[in-house]
Amino acid sequence: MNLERKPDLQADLLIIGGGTAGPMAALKAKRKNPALDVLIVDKATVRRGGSICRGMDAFNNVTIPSKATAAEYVDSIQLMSDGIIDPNLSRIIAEKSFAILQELESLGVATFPRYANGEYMVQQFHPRGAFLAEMRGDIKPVMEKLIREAGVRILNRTMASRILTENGRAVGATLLNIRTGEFQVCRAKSIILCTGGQGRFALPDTGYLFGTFDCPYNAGEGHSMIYHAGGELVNMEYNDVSPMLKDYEGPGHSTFIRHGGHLVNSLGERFMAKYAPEMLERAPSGIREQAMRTEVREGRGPIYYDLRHLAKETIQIIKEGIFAAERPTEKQFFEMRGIDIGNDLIEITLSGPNMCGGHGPTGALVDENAETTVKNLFAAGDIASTGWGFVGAAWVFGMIAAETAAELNAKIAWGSIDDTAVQAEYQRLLAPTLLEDGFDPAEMEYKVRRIIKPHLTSPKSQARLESALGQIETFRRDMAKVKVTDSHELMKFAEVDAIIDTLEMAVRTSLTRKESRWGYGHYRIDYPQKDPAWDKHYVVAAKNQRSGCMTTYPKAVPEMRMQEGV
Amino acid sequence: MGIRVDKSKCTGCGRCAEECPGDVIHMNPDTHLPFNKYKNDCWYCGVCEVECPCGAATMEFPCLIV
Repeated sequence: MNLERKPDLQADLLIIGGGTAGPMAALKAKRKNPALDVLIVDKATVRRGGSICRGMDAFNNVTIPSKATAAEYVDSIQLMSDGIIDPNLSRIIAEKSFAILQELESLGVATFPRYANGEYMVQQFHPRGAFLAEMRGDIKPVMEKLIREAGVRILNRTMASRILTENGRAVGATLLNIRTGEFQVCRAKSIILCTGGQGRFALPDTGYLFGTFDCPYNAGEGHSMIYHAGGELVNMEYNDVSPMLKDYEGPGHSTFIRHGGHLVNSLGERFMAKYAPEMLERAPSGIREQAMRTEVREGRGPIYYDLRHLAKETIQIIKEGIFAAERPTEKQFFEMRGIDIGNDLIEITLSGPNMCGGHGPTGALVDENAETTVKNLFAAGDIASTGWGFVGAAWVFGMIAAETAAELNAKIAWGSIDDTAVQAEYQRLLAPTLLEDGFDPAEMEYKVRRIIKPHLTSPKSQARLESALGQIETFRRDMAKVKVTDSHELMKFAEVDAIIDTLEMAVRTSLTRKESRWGYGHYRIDYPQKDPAWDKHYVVAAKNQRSGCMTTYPKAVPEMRMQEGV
Repeated sequence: MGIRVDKSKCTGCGRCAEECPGDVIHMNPDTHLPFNKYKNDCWYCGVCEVECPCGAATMEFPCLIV
């Protein structure tokens, strides 16, 4: 293949990723300043790219004033994160989410079913407080149309590979068209990364590389880009593990549990009563994972969802949510297996570990403006550490990042592009196209991903983590042997490189946090207790700018600023 | 796996290939019909099915799922 260098692009605001947060950011940037030149790029298309390509069954963290309070939301996230999420970010999500729900409703992007008395259908999934509002609608095409009409420029099938910086500030990005193999630079005054979580991480039990829970097209490239740009990532030692429909590896957990479903073992026991007698199925995910693994280890597996006690009307709402809004192909799957979710037990397995800011605390360290520790580089959605942010954080911080960037635009001068960095990136992507023979990117990907479950699943140990570091070194060596034949494979080459980067972050931060926290979220068999010295402290993964090597260090979590009503 | 095409209904418009989030589906330049160029990259999301304007597309699960 030919990696063709195209003339540079330029945009006031470059948004990388057109899934959930990206289109909201684009819309809000244009609302704030219609003259702003906004460019959004997506590896797939803005119309159908990202985790919610078919929709989402709930606005899964909205604080509706009559239903819950901001204080309850902050409390719940503090409990789930065991104090390792900035509470100020949770407060912002709680305060701004309901206005977004109303706006999405008025724009016709989504509908929010209500009971006969006119109240929104809101259920409890978090340990405290009810924050999940039923949501319907084919969200993405409507959002795409809105941003097109607002004058946002859209570049589909385009992935970003590196952020270009000047004195610690983002000034542009390198882009690759995954269908044509064209390489170009986009200069920008500010950049918002909305590339999603690391969904293509541990090999799922399906044995199928792309049979993952979170969108497998989100391969952690954003995390990798922030890292190479000098930014900080936090909580990468946290194992994001969710219960999965066996063989489909698809969602259902939050829907089943918020509507009153139970988790049972093969003896029919509602086993969470032993591990979290008060919170039961609504216990933080690491506690739930520990419970499930213990049940299976002690011979009481498999584990099932039991919805058989739920009313017919409730089962109907669940079916509408999952089958019509979130993952319609799950309907086909259940039919193929002959499972009727209201009458049969639903066998489950465990995902991951993955890294998803929507389902856990992992991601880019951001402040209250969604700015990363690289100036003018923002991050929103599953890439950011905003604490079990789901769609709420994506929309709220997508909006905040865009409004901040739009406001700053007039005050920011254009940066200059370092051509040495551009050349280095061009050469990195060119190298696998020049090999006459070599490994397929998919073979390399399998080789890397197969070590994640054995080395990172809790209980973790120093010996297993150190052994993983040795393997990572060989992966880096062997990446030089990967050959690509077309631009699609070149995309995968860049993705595998990001998978290795995020794996190294997970392993090194797991070694650094010499304590156990979050149940099986991070359980060190050699340090089985929580250490108060680690309370309110992140482990940061970052690039040592002098050595070019990965470094980890503790960093204090910001205190809650006093605010009326919280 | 990806898309299964009912050739009697497909008009070759290319909507499925245009929107497939995994870049799985491409158009065959000779037959003007869609095909699974990268079938191992399918997330079985079903976008091909919902984007098809003439009901010619069915999403087919990968063999390791069924």
